[in-house]
Amino acid sequence: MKQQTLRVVAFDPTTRGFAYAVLEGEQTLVDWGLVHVHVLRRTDANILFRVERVLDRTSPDLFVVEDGRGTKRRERARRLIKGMEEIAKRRNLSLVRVSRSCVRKTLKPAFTKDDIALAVASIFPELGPRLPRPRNKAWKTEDERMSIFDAVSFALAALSQ
Amino acid sequence: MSKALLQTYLRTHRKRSGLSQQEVAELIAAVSGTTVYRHEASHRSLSLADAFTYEALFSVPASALFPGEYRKARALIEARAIALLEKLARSGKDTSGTWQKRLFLEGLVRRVRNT
Repeated sequence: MKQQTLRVVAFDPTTRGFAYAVLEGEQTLVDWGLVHVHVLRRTDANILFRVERVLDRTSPDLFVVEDGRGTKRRERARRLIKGMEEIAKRRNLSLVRVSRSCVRKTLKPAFTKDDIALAVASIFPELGPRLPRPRNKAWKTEDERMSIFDAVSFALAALSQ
Repeated sequence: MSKALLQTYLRTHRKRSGLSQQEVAELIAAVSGTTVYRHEASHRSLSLADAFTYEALFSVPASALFPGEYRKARALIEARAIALLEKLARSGKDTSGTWQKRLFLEGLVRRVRNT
């Protein structure tokens, strides 16, 4: 039973914690989920501690986060991504930063986040029940589950690079 | 190339089925979802009955569900087979029975190393 594939873990910060996805090669989604940190304990340190726990459980080869340069992500999300990158460096993991344009190239012709989520759900049908309904109003808050699809799309983009 | 398979893929198969830990606990007649959590996190050793129950539940061989345990068993078998081969060599016997055993043990070590 020899292992032939690269194990990739991708993270995406959310307002309540983070979403993560673990892939073994492009075909196997091993684990995914949303991690919430209680509002009274929601500090960067506590969120990053939970990131470390996911890493302990999955021992990945590749660590993937969004390339925050040139995006409209908030200061807090940027800080968390930086913290995640530091964890990857400390653990000597190969770090890959993936931009949204890279995700779009990988999952062509999907362009919007809803299209990308649909494309991801078609590759991994197990995510189908978690697919959020498309936003009918642009000003409405995005469903938190979208971050799971973001994390999976980052991992897929990193694997295709 | 990845270093090794995960200790267990129980969580993967449970999530694919859409079941919660509590629901899996009900299916396998465990006390609570905590038992399933402990199996998923490899914090609790598995009984043979548990392994077969999970195999029946997810239709996945126990060796694929729990590669960590399978790896440990293989390493143990390899070490013991080598020890037994050395013991047979030390005994100095050269009967057809000893020859058959040596052949089997050598094949076993090769098989375990190649899989």
